[in-house]
Amino acid sequence: MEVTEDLLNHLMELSKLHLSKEEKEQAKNDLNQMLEYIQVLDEIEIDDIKSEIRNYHMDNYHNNVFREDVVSCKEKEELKANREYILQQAPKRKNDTFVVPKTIDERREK
Amino acid sequence: MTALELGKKIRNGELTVRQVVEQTYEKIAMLDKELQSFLSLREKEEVLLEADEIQEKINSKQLIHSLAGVPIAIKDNICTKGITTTCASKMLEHFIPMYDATVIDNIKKAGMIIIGKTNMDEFAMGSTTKHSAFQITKNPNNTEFCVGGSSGGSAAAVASQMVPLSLGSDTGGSIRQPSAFCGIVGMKASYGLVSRNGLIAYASSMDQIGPMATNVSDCAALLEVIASYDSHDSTSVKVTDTQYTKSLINDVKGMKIGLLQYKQDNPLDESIQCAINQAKENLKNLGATVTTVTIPFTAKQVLSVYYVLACAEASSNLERYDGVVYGFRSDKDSSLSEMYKKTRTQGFGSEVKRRIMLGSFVLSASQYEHYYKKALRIREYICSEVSRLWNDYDVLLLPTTSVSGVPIKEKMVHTTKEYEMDCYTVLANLTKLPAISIPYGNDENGLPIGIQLMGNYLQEHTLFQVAYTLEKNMEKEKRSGI
Repeated sequence: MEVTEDLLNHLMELSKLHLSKEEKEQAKNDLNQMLEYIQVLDEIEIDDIKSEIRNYHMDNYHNNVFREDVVSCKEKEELKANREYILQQAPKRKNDTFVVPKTIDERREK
Repeated sequence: MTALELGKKIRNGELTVRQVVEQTYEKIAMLDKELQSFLSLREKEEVLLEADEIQEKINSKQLIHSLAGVPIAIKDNICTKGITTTCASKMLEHFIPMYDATVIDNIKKAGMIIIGKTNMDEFAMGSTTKHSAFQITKNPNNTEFCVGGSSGGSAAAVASQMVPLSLGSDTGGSIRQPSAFCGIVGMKASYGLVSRNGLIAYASSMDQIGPMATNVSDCAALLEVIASYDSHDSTSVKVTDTQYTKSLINDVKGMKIGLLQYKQDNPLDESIQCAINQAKENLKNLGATVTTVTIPFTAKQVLSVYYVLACAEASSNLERYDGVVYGFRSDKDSSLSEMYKKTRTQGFGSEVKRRIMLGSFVLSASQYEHYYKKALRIREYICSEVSRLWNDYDVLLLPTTSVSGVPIKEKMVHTTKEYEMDCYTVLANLTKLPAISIPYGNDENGLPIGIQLMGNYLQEHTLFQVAYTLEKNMEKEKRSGI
């Protein structure tokens, strides 16, 4: 399995990363190396092994952990304070909303 | 002085918490300019006020914990309210969490004092701490050498005795390996014992926060503080007995120790092989039986399973960094999709990008069955093979790393060469088992070596007993100290 230009572009799209020409060459080498390394998994025949995938050791401790669909913060004031705290961290904000670039430009790109 | 000794002196009134904090900041001022362990320090005045409050509570017997008043450093991927938590990444350079991780709640309840946040490989991806976006931490034993990673800053802070305790996180060895490189004790407990609530995720099925200290007793005491059931972490496990300091017993008579090996002989640095042999002889002399046991996998196979799964989980966990709600954003003249790409490209370092792309690859529709699903099934196979060992053995002995003393200037020609350092540590993460690294001598350059002990699921008590015994019975010259 070799990392081609097409595959690298596909991975960049999936990962939402943009690499320069030089970075692409480096990335191709690195990924090829990593892929070559993990080829060793082909050495292990797993058809004979039980096919179920389960959380080893955890069976006795918990499966399907659920909780009630209620907010755990007790005080409404705490909720309000947290909200402001979160919005203060926003890269770009307008009142109580997060501002992002227009999505409509993408349609034009296509 | 150990953390427990310090705690005792505070409770006896021999030292005030204020004095301890003053001394801590003095030590940091003296040492950290060179070592670069800390990414951020809390304001000294603020911490001194907190010290006074804790002193009050100790005086009035409100706080009686054995570690009350003891300073601690926290790896910078653990959320601390009001204190920047960067994961050593440009992506989160100015990020301030709005809540404390559960382990931080526990630490505060015990009356411990958080001094600052420590350096690490970016998003915990790396084994050298060279992948930090901000600085490289130096090994206090010899500043030309790496501290290991990814909890490198936490290891150096303790090894240089700037603080007696620190918290790290371990996904593939990130606590144990830097502990070995720096000559301290580091532990990753059973998966689920320590809450991951507030730990910025790398690989969710393997991440664990753990204690780092200069000795086994302190390590056990700190684990007692941070181990707790947490309803905010759906992988958290309820354990009734977490009094690990009760297991600090100097006795291994009749215990069955398995000296673990991979299917093919792995090249070990000579000094590490010596340390393992020495540990084996010591355990035998102390009344344990030590038998070599081999598991039917090569180190390369186990490492590959780890990297496929860790990178896959990381690529998913790191999707959230998109510049929308918090963290770094790059959006000059962008459409939304351009913003995502520019933000992530500029915010992430090259190692993180590599692992995200590999993760995306193994999870992509055409490759999913071949790599990811297969790795999951092999992980199960590895778990089942290792679990059989507990019928015959109480504890497993193995190296922590295959190498010691990696110079900072050494350029890893192959990415995979850096990954190979983790071949003995990833096993405990894949199998969710507890494992501890203790210092066991030095290599020919005078750099510390660590050896590793692994236990059965939730059998930390047995693990601590063996670790404590080995530590207490080390020949004086093997004891590594600075």
